[in-house]
Amino acid sequence: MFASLPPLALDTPSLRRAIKKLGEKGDIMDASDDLTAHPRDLITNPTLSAKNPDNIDMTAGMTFLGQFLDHDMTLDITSSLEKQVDPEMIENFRIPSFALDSLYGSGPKGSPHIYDQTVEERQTTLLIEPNPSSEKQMENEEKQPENKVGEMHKRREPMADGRRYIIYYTFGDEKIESQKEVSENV
Amino acid sequence: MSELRWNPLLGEWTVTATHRQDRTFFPPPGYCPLCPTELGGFPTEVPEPTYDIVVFENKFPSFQPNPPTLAIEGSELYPVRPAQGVCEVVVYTPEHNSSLAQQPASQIYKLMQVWQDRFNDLNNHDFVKYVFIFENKGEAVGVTLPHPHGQIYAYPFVPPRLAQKAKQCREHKEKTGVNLIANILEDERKDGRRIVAENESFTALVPFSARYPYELHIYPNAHAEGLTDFSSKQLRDLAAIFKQVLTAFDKLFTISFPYIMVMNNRPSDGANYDFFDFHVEFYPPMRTAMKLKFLAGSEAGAGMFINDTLPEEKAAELRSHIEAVIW
Repeated sequence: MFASLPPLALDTPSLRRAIKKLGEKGDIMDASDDLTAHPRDLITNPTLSAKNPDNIDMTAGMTFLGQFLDHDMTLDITSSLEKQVDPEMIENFRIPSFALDSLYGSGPKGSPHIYDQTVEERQTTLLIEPNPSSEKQMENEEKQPENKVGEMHKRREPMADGRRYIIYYTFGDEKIESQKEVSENV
Repeated sequence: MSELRWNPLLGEWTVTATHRQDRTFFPPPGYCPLCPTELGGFPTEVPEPTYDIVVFENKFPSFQPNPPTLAIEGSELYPVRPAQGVCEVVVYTPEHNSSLAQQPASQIYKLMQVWQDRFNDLNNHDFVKYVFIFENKGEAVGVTLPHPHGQIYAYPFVPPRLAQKAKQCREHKEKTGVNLIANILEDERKDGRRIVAENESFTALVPFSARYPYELHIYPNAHAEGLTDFSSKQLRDLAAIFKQVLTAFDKLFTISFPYIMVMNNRPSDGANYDFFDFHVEFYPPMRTAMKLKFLAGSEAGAGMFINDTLPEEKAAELRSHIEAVIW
C-alpha cells in the first residue's frame, strides 16, 4: 500500500531515542503488567494484566511485537531464484521494507473489512472495536440498545414507473403503520 | 422479450429475457440505483433519503406477474409458455460500500425476518410453485451492482435442482423412515471433521461431497421445511451463524469473499414436503487466494464436478476463523 512512500524521518540518534522511549516502562506502550510475576502467569492469570482487558490471555505486546517484526519488518519471501524479477511489478510480492500492512492491511480496497464503513465511505478510518471476550466489550454491548431489533413494519408503495412495487421494512419504534399486503396485487 | 422454452433433451425449462442485456452495469460513483435518493440528487430505485431494508420488483425481471406475449409459437417438440413469476431485489442496507458479512448480526436478523416475510407473501400466489432466495456476491460470480443486495425469484415451476433434491429426500424417508438432512446431521456430528460452526438451532458444515473447495451448508438442527417454520429465536440463531460463516469467509484470504448463496425452502406447489428440510448453501468460486474455480468441460458439459481439495481440510480452515457473535 505504501511501497513508494518516502520515510517520515531519517535515521538519527534523536529519532532512535524517541522510538526507544515509546517502549520504556511507564510510557504509552506499557500496560503496567506485574513483571515480577512468572511469564507463564502473565498469560494465564488475567488479574496480572488488569490494564489490558482486551487481551487478557497474553501479556501486553508479547505476540504483537513478534508478529510485527516477523510479518512486516523482516519477512522476505523473495527467493534467490526470483531475484531477477522486479517485485514492484508483481502483485502481492513481498519486499523487505516497512510496508505497514500489519496495521493497514491491503488498504481500503484490498481489506475493506478493517475500515470503518460509517466514515467517509470506509476509505480513511480503521474499524476499531474491543476484543469480543473482554470486559470492555461486554460493557459496550450493554450500552448499545440500538442493536436490539424491534418489531418489523412494512410499507408498500407503487414505484415511479407505476408498474412495479416497493416495500420499505423498518424495525423498532418507528411510527410506520404496518400494512398487510394483499398478495393478489403483486 | 421473456418466455419459457422447453429443452427436450434435458427435460428442463430455459427462460429467455432479452431485455436483461440492457441492465445496469457497474454504474459510476453516485449513480448506484440501490442507494437512497439524496435530496436533489440522482433518482435511484429507492425514492427515500434512507431506509433500513427495502425490497422492490426487479427492473429487469426474468419473470413477471403479467408476462409479455410469447415471441415465438411453441410446438409439440418445443413447448413455450409465459414466464410468469416475480423477481424481487432485496437491498440489505443503505450503505453502498459494505457487504452482508460487514453488517452487524442485528441487521442480518432483520434481513432474516424480511426474507421470511417475502417467502410467506410470494408463496401465496397461485402461479408461484417455488420461491428462490439467493445472493450473488462479487465480480467473480458476475455481479454488476456492488451495493449489498440479494434477489428472490418466484418461479412458476419447481426448478430441476430442487426437484432432484426433493426426490432424494422423499426416497430416503420412504426407505429409512428418517429425513435425509437429519440423517446427514447425525452422521456429521459423529464424525465432526466437516463441521464449521453450530449453535442451538443450526449447524454449518462443508458437505462430504462438496463441489467447491469452500462450499458450505447450513442445516436446521430440528425439522423445518421452510423459513416460515422458524421462530424468532431460530431466525436469530440463523442470523448468528450467517454472521459467523460470512466473517470466516472474509478472513480466509483477507478479501471480501465472493460467493453464491442459495436458500432451499420447500416448494410452493401445495404438495406434502414433510420429508424435506430447509437448508442454505454457499458456493464460493475461490479455490485459493488468487485462483478461481471455473465450471469447465466436466462440470458444464457432464455435470460432473471435480473438487481439487479435501472437504475435511477446508472445514478446518474455515473453523479456525469462526468467532463469537457480537450482538
